Amino acid sequence: MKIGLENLTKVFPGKGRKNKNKEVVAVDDFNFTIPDGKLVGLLGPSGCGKSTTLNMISGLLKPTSGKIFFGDKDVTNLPPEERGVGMVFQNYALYPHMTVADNIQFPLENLKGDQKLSDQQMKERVEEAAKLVKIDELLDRKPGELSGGQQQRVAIARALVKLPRVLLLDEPLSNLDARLRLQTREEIRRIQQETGITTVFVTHDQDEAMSISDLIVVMKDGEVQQIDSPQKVYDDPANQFVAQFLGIPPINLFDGRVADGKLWIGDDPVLEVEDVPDQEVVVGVRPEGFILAHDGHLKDEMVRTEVTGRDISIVSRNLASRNPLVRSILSSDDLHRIKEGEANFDLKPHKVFLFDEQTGKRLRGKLKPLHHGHPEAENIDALVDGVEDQIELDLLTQAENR
Amino acid sequence: MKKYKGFLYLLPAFLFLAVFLIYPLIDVFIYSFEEGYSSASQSYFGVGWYNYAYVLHDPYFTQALVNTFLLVVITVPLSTGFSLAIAFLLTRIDKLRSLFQTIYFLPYVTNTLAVGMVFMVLFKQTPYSEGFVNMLIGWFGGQPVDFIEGPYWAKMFVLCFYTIWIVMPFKILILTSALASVNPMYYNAARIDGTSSWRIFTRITLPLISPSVFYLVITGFIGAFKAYSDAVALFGTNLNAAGMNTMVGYVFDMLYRDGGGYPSYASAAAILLFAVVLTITVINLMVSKKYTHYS
Repeated sequence: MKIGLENLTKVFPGKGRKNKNKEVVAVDDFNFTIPDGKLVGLLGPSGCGKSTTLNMISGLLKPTSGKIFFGDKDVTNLPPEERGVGMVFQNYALYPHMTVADNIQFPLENLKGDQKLSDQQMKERVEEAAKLVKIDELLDRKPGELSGGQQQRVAIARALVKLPRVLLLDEPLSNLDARLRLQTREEIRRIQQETGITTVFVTHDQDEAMSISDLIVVMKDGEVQQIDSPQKVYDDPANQFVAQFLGIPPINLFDGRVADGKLWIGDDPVLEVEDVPDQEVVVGVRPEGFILAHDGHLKDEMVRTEVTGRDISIVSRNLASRNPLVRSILSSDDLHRIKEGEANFDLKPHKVFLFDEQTGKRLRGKLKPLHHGHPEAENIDALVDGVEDQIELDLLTQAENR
Repeated sequence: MKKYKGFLYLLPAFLFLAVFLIYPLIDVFIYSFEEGYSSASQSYFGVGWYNYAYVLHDPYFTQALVNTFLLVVITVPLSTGFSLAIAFLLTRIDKLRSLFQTIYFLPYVTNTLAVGMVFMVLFKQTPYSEGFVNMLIGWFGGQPVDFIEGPYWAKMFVLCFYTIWIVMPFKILILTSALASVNPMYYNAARIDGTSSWRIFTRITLPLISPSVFYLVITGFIGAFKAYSDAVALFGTNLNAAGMNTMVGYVFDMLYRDGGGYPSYASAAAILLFAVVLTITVINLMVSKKYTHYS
């Protein structure tokens, strides 16, 4: 079932005598239709309104204005118990005094009227749900006797047992250790695909969002920044915030300007630009967007190299950089080309993004390598597809290693 | 030496308890078997079960026993139940919550005898007035009842009413904090799962605060068994005459009655009270094990 959010807004009143008039806009005019059967990740730093959005979908919070639709039905004023959603809480909220089986069965016992189930039916449903999340051997235990990952599964089973039309997950992985997190997110993906339930989950962890979502909603200060597929959000950020928020290591930002049809970083012309008027810009370069070259146009001062085996990072310094250090990731094949004290780069145009200096909005123009650039950089457009695959693969492996 | 260091730390408290608690307890136990012990002459006639036989056949003792049992059985469940209801409602209001909490706590810091005076105004008939409660009864067309010197059930009602009223503040305090300590995420989870308010209360709230409830039931039982000052505040010191004596009251009367008193009888009665309280508490512990959830 699709979920429609229409001009959804939540304003919290200021707390305390001093802040009485300081309202906090947690979610500001959210418009989006979550397609049926998809897994959508709400991603953003803490305080961006993602949990508030989730709680409004669940019904635990009432929107200040705007509407929520489940399918074609307006559920804005329905209490949570009548919405038929399943929810997994950040701390799982398993009832500590009940066994796992009782916990999973609890939502079923609440069913009334036609939906009421016999004890036998309930037991079957509980076992079914337990099997789906692979905890059928733990049914007699109490939550306190389970590991974090097992508790997580119980929470998912409890959310799924009443066959909800919508599954909501609030930071479902944040209480698990790194290994378990990887495992569990695959599990969530598997369960979502097996059941086909429209699922919304909240996370501040980009890896999590990138790896399992069909769609990512990036939020900041209550406002939606971008809604796209994970790869698109990474490759084609809508603004400076999205570009900065996604990507590990983070994107490198430089103060630059567009002049004479060229993009300048400091005193170095680095790329040719079309369709962007002359102005000061912020230049974002993904770490993998650097090509090491003796005669590279971007002249950095070498700080150190870091070798991780599969790839190498060059940490360098540039006066125009917004961060003290610039980090580039190169293939380990480039190792022999590194020369002491020299860090000159050409840039891959599709890894470079221009942003308005004031608003942070993306400036979309055509970027091309300079004519006398490095041959590799010139051929790069033809190689784009291959490179992108490679990058995607890199990202995945990076994510798994983390 | 290291082995005994821990015991050394315990020694001050242990000495204190030994002198003021364990020694008297053993002493009382011994007196209860000594016939006609006199504290003045430190003498007694013989050793045996005579004191117990006397006490158990004393109509004043059986009266006190019945009174105490009634008091326990009536006041403990009612006061705990009312306190739970009030504490629960207190957590549901936002405005004036502290004010109400303070009001409900006031009886706890009020002197027993002062409260007794107020109850006199409410219930006692004097040549000049019928008492406030009788006035109310009169308005609704009922016959006035003498609550202080009248029929047994009326006196028992006042005593229970008084006891419930005086123990509730503490219970409300404990239960309010217990309710506040329940993580709201459980309520959110239950609401998402479509649970009715009543079921949330019985299936989630109550089990989660069960340790506090259990604590109140145990201390409530013990407290009610030891009731004495409440009865004195209402019915004066001659409780036997009023037929409203309690077990502790009986022990006290025996100690000082007729000038010298009867320490042997008092000791036997005290040991009987001890046995009853111990038995009930053990039963309580066993029952609660099944229903109490400790996180």
